[in-house]
Amino acid sequence: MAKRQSAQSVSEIAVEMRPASTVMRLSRLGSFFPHRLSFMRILMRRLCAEKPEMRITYQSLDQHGFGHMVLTIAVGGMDISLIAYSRELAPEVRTDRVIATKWDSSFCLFEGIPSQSEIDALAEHVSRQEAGRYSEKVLCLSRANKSVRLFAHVVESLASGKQPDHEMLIQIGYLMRTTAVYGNGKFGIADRGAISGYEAFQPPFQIEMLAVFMIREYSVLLAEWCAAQRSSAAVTLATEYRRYLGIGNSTGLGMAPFLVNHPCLVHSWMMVRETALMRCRTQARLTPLQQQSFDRLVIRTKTHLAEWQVEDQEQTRRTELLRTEFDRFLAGLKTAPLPEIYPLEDVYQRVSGCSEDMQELMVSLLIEICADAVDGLSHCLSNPFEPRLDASMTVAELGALIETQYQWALDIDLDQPENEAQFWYVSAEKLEPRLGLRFDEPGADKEMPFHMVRYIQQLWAHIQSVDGMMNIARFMLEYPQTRYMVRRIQTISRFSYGEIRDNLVADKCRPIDLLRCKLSFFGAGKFDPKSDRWTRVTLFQGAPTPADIAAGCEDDWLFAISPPPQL
Amino acid sequence: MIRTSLNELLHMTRKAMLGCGFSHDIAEDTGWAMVMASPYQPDAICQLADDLFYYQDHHSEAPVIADNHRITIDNGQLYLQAKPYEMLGFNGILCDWLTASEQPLSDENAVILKLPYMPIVFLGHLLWTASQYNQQVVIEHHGRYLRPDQMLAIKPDTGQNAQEELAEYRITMQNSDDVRIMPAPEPVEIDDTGWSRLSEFAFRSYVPESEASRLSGAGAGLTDND
Repeated sequence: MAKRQSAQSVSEIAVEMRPASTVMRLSRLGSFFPHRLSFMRILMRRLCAEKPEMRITYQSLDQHGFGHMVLTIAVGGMDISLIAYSRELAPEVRTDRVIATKWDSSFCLFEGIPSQSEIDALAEHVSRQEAGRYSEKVLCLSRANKSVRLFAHVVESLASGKQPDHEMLIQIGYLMRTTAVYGNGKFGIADRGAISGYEAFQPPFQIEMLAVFMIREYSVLLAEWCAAQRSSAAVTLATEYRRYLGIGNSTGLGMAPFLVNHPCLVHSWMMVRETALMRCRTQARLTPLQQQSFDRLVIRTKTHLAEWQVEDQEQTRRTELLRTEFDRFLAGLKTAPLPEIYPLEDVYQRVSGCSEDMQELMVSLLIEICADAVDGLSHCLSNPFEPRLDASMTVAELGALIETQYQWALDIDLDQPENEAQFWYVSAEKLEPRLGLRFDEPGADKEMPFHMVRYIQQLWAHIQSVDGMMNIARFMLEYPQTRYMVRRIQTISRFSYGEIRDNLVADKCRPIDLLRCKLSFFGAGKFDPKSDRWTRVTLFQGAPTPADIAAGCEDDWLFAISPPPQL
Repeated sequence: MIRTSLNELLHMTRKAMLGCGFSHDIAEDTGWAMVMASPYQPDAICQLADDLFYYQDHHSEAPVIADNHRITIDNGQLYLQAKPYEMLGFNGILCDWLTASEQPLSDENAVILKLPYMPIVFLGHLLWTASQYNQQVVIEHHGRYLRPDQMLAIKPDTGQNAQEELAEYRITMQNSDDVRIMPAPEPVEIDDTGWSRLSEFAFRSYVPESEASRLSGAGAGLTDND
């Protein structure tokens, strides 16, 4: 760690940003945790600052809670409504799979406050989700099923004037789980370009996060409504429980290709996170307030890790190691307190030899306590650029880019079948991304363009056969089939965090690493993998409630922990 | 007519192109081309569907790769004579040619096309390229100089006579402060027949899901009524 003298009283520290070759490995991406610049957190900070009131603008629910409810909130001066349709669902048709066609509740986020005729007109479409057709007044589309067990228990408890069983509520953690959240123009809804024009929705996925946040509130209101219909002595859910309940979600392969298909955008996400980390590491001193935050946060994190219990054996092994490493880190703080100068760089260096889980956990912790230094980066998370070809570059220059950015791909031996054992495709049944076995299943001729290793190696062979001074425009005339990869390489040379530096079609590729990376940027935690292809998560668990927001609160819920039993 | 979002239009086009054997870069570019062209020409989608139909008729083998032997180059001038539907394979590399202006090419690269009419999709490509490189495309035709958006505003004659008579178009890219950037992010009204035909082409890019994949998808293996 080099230091150089400056005119200031504290010598400046020279810290290098972690390179893409370190950050963009699958195993590291699969170790990410939610952080202060995650999209849910950005939304919550805006809401905490604006203190809008979420109100019920329409309600037409029967005694069983079937009908519709409209919740409205003003964000950035713009009224946005969640229209929720609730229906009776037979147990035999309730499924979390994407193949489902009916759900307990279906939702759309609507620009403004809908009229009764608009609510009626949308009902038929929203209840059918992908089979419906929408206008640009609809900003987002979603559906959810109840956690039947917990929902029934909460209703029963509240109706009898009691709070629900603490253990059951903590164990499940949500009243509803969403099975899809659609945005950006799907089925005719508003394009992302239309929404991002509003300053409040300029950071990524703010509309989608808002939808989930409102669904979370709806799920509690629905349970309370059902309880109130049963008994005039019904009580409302305790605030602590209300805050702890999130929204469940099953996330599978559908989310994974996004990280490959949007290299410029993904670069921005990673660049923001790495920039934030660097700003933390180069902070000369902690303020007393930051020191208090750090002390409070590490204690909360320890409890959070203890509460992170899953069935998956691999995740359990990793979490146990993480707990051990974290305990060791805490013990180290007692024997060797942080230095006064550059304390966070010291933290970073202390865990540099630990597991990637521990290193990335610490990235989230460091970013958390440097709010003033990092919060403004939320406006850098979007990226307006699309990949484009630089036709005036020479072939020799392209070759040099390959050597610096894609040596990892040149080093992989494709004569070994395991290095291209899988292929990604879009399923005919649900138009969702899937992963197939190249040598056992049909369809590899229609694979998604994720076989970077082969594309690079083919391109490398072609560029060896031409004059290095040939420009790319002319090279494209000779080898038009390489255009996709040439453009990608040139793009990655400008947006280096935009490419995952691992083989996505190898037999060892674990798609769940991609899912965890994206979910961490959403702000999800306590990952509960059910296989290497999908995971359960709970969104907004521990986040402020709408009542907290209206009353004025802080966005302080990283690594939330369960509340004590409420009576 | 059907009202679609721009993102829907982009991805439907992309998938239709993939379904007909075009590469991912061409498919993506054509998606953007349709986004650029459709606000001017609601039936751009029909012309694309027609072109894909012809392409399927004449080039059934996938993947589709531009036939570079038909291109001649003379000191920075690129010449190509093609049928309108054949342009789908060339659009990308022709736009690339326009954007390359450094040595060893001449200072001004030009594309000279002999076509019965200027395809809407190619005009969309030119607009997309201009917006990406922040430059202006100029098309010289019968002594007139037009931008792609100006040509898009005039629906081309694609009838039988137009199919047989070839016209010359000289295309260059120039620096300009007056660049057509992106259409407003508003839905577009497009021809629903064209949309349906594109959907059919798109379906060819999908793969039937294997049983193993189905059994390992999100939500699989859990009790849904827990």
